[in-house]
Amino acid sequence: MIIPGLLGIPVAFCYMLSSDYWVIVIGYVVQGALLGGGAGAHVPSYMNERFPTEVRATASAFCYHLGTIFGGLVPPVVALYYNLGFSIPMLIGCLIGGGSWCLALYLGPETKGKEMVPDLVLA
Amino acid sequence: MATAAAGAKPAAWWQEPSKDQWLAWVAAWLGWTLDAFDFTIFLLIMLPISQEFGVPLTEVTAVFTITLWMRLVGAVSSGWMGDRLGRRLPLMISILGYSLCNFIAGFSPTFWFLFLFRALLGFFMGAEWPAGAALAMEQWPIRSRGFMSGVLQGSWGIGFLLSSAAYGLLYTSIGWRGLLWIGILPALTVVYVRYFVKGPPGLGRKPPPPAGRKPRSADPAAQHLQARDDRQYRAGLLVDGGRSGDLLRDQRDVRDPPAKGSGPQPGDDRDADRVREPRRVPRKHVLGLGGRPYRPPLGNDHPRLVGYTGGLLLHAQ
Repeated sequence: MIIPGLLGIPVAFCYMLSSDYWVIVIGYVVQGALLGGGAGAHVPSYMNERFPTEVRATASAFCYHLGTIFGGLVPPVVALYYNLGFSIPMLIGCLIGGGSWCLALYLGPETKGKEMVPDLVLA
Repeated sequence: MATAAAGAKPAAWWQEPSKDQWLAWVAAWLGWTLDAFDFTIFLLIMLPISQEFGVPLTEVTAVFTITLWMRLVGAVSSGWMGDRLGRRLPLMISILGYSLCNFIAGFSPTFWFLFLFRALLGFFMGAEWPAGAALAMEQWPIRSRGFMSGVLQGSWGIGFLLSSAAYGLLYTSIGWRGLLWIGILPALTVVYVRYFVKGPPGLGRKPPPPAGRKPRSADPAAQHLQARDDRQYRAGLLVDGGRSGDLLRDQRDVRDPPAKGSGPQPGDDRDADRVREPRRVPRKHVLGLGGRPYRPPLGNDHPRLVGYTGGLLLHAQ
């Protein structure tokens, strides 16, 4: 999840600062495979592996959807800074999103192979 | 023979999940993909909507923002419900909810009516993810869980593709209202979930009653203790889905040991072919806070219940 996130950051510079139509199209497609879809592919399994059964759905739902608060602000913010053009506000948003994504995953635990069971079982 | 077993070729990853696990994953996939369809169809019809209602396009994009914000509320509500009642019910409610909201939004007489129902759609849209993801992922075998997680999450794009195809093929004939009306079709998924999908074992089921309890004593003091335990057990079901109630019941079993053979038996779990090895913690860590025996500060019942629940939450971190 970190690798596509890291790769997506330089790709954002490549196509968002370009004025060539095909560079923008190809860059956008590549970004779809990196920060767009590639980075988030493991979100359902990762989020569910992070929490015990008792609170799994609530906790994963809250953590995942907290991002929509900030994500939902992007369209008005991009519109607000329209004088900069669309690409600069989008690039800044992409950098903040990609950077925080990689940092959070780097600081988080590895959950590969975790058996999802209640954490609290009487011995 | 052991050598032959060790040398046997392992089953392909797609043969490893049981039929129920596949059905659960498909339910989550349908819910998520059709969720994307209902959500993204709006992106394609924002311009005609702004023209029909005579509102600026920026106000129409605000609908999008509110929809996303409502996702958080819906997701947490659905997650809370899913942790207490099981994953299937919130999944069905969410799919039905976003389908109906999209359908009703197609009849909007005013822009604010549309705004309201698209915001409600955000609530149900957010509600779908935790229920569907938990339903699919917590049952799926470890070996291919990451891959199927990617397929599940990436299917959002298929929903977008479907909405783009619907826009390209149908917009000129049915208009933006028609495109919202066909958003009711995902509601058919509820029938599939209702009749074919089974939830994860142990979730959303009524806990077994205290087994092998001694008959009520004629002693008024003992009757008082049993009645108090029953109240706490019921309260625990409401507060934290039965976990504190289970602990209280366990404590009661220590005091009044159940008859032999009356407790849960091996094979009670419906999904017996799964190997579940829970992390076991010493009893003292559960019944006390941080491993210390818990003593009610005021000696009454309610702080003890709160203490048990708080201890559980601390251990759940």
